[in-house]
Amino acid sequence: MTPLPLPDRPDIYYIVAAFLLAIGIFGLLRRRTLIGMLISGELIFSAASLNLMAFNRFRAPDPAVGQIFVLFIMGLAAAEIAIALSIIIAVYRNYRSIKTRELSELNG
Amino acid sequence: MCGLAICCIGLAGLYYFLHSPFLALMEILIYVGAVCVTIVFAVMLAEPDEPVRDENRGSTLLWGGFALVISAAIFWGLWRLGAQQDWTAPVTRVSDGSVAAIGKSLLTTYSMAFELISLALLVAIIGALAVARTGRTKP
Repeated sequence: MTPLPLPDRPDIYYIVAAFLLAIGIFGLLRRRTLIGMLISGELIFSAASLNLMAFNRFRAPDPAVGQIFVLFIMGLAAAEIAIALSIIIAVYRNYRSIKTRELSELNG
Repeated sequence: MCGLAICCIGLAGLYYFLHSPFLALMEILIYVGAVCVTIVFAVMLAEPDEPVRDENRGSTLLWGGFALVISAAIFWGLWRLGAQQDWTAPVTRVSDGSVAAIGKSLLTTYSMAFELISLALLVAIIGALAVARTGRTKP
């Protein structure tokens, strides 16, 4: 039995998605600005979408369902980006900074 | 921002390999065309200078290891799930996953979710306008 070509093996997609998730979590924890954290959140969304698409391609009986689900994820991510960027701009107008260390009026 | 665009183009290529060119097109259109451009505008308005790190390398390695452990756990769970469960064989597929099938499903089975997500996008954009506007009227 010859091994499958690389794009036809589901493990490859799981590994790529796991790396995307790791980079996203790391950026979310270590970035010091709000926009960096937002981009890291997008990477986590991408990891989830890639896992869904891999399962959809290799395991699901109806391939349209996963694609529609990922489309909805993209729509919700776009809505989240719009809201978060407007909040970031409002915060910058009030504080003159979007560094997370300086937005600490509510700290204990 | 350039990195995000390159990452999204790569993800679109992976979607193309997963037999869904429609999603690859949508990924490029939404992420590279809309999200990256919006983030670039926000960067121009808000100047996000990454401050100099004051921590040592040890904590960076610690958090990197933490993230790797979490993602490895999720990868292991998914791989196990994909390898060991009884899945329906792909020969018994009910549709071919083409653009026509996606459109039919969107307008019949998932029409409620379709309308709901359009409403969510409308509310999000109006909310974004309201939040940015109240920031402007302040002195």
